[in-house]
Amino acid sequence: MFGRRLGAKPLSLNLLSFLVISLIWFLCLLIMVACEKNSTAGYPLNRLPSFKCRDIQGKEVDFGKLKSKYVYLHFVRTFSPDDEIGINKICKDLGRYHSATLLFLFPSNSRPKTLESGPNIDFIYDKDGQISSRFNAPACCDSYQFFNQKGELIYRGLFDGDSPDQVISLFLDVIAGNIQYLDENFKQLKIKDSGLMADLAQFINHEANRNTFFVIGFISAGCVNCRIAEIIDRVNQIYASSHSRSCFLLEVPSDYSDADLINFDRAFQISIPIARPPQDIGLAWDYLRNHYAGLFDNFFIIINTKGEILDFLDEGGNEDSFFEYLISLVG
Amino acid sequence: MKIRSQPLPILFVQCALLICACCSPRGLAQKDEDRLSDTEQQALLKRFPTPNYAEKLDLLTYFPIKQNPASTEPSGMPLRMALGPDNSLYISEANEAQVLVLELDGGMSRRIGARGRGLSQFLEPSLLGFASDSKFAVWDSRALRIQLFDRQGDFVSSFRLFMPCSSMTVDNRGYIYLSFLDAVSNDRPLIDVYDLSGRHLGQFGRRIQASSPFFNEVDLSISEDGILAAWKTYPLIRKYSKSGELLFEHYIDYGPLSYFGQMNMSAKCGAQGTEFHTAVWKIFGGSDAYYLLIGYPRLEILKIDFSGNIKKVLWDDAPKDLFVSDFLIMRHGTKAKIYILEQRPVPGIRCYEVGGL
Repeated sequence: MFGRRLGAKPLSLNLLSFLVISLIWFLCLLIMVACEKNSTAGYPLNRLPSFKCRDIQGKEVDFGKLKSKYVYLHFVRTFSPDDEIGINKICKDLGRYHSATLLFLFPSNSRPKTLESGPNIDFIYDKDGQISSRFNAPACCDSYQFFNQKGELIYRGLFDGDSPDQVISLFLDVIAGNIQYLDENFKQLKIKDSGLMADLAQFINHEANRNTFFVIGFISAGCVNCRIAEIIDRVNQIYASSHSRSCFLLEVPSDYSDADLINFDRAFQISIPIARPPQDIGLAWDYLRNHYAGLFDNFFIIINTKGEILDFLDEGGNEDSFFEYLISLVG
Repeated sequence: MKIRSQPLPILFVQCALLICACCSPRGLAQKDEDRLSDTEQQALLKRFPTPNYAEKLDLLTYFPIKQNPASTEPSGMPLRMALGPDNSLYISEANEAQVLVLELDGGMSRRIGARGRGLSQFLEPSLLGFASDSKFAVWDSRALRIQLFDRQGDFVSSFRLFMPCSSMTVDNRGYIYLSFLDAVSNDRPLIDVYDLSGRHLGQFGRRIQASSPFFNEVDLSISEDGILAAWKTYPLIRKYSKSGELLFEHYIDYGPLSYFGQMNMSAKCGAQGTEFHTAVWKIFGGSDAYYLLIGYPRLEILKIDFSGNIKKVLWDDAPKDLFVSDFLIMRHGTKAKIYILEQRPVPGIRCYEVGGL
């Protein structure tokens, strides 16, 4: 009996320990899920994943073995024979760099004919966009991603017919080490956010002191018939229902005149305040616009009261996941 | 917003198509696909012979266009043309994103602008119009903005609009008339008016209630006392006073115009824009008549009086793959010169001389 009582104590301690450990694990799990949400919503992969597939000749392509090279990944989402001209130019100009591997992914129903292959060039059929999805490549249009020799994502951009020369030049910059890691560049907005916060302060004071999230859209190429109009409209709807808990602002380029602001307001018919960015943010935005091939011409960010960027939606991003996250924050 | 009333998938399809199509300087109907096969062209030539009273145009001269000074061959993508008060031809050119100024003998006078987003820079200069003796306006169909320049080509001011635009014309008061491309609805007024500072002054005109908003792509031209609007997809011409009253509406019953107009009207997939053939390519307003340019199956210019009667038909053979993007008429006493901007097969200006216009 004594022994049993003695034995009972360790049992309750064990149970308590088990519960505590379970609780800690549960909390860790919650934090991991939250971190996962914050870090991946709308973002591309930060690192080259390891997996294998086969090229259009049936040869195995092992992504895991590419990490010692600079990797150029080109996602063709809507193939037309004219695309081969630009791709061949990229292959010709970049294929000679032995430190680089070029991979082109085509829709499985496409039949490229005149592609110029090489020892470090592979053409792959991307069945049902499965590989593109792994890289969060936009489905709307052709795009590309650059990875460095450590397998880190350096750069990504949208590709159109005018782009080959620009893409080649950018990739050579990557090889030369002239382009830094994507997120580091993007953080320029965050690092210099004192101006942004000051810009927001008037709205904080004006609207409510209890705002907890700020949603800021940067719109430089607005068009009422374009995709951005639908996105602005969705933001506007969320703004209409949640502005007591959050602060919304649309920034337009600093060179927009007063007439431009009026015409913008008139064209989009939105109730979100519109402003020109403070100088430091304007410069950071210019940087992003110039260095990311149109990805940041229009984009939205969600920041918290500390000025930390929680999520962003750029031209190639998935707006559904962005809005799902935004609604979860602002209610 | 109007966009909200559309089902989302349809909206995205429309948006994607519009981004690809309507940002084209040639607009929706005049896409690269908008060309006839040899068989179609021959069949249409037989089906629609020139009327007995038609006059064959004789090419007086041809000025090649070169997109840059180093070019040895004609090159570039000329989009629109306007006659300046200095009697020079101002031509928007998309490849090098510039405005070329040519003398009437074809000599290059100067180049204005370069590619970029800054002042005096263009992404795709397309529509042109002269506001007065001292200023001309250039519509950038990718940046969606208007830049104003003085006659020396120096930048004066700019303002942005946020819709693609199919046509622009400017009157001597400095009012800018624009017809926007609305991808979603036929309900938007046909013409918007702005002053030179970008202030919206008003809007007027009604669009056709067609199966697709893409049907309502019009070309505008200033006439002495009003604004002429020609549907590119349908041979319908309207004239509005400068205050927006409808002065007349003509349906031009003429072989290829009617043929393509009816074909477009019955096109069920018109929402894609690619199903439309261009019926009326351009309109040019005169003091007592207006002129329509037809690009295929042969090159034709119709003179139509303000009662809607066809007074004259001028024609020339259209070489294979001919694509003309603009024209204008310049009078000298009893004679007139017609300048037609050819985009392909050889970028340049065709110049014809005719009497009795």
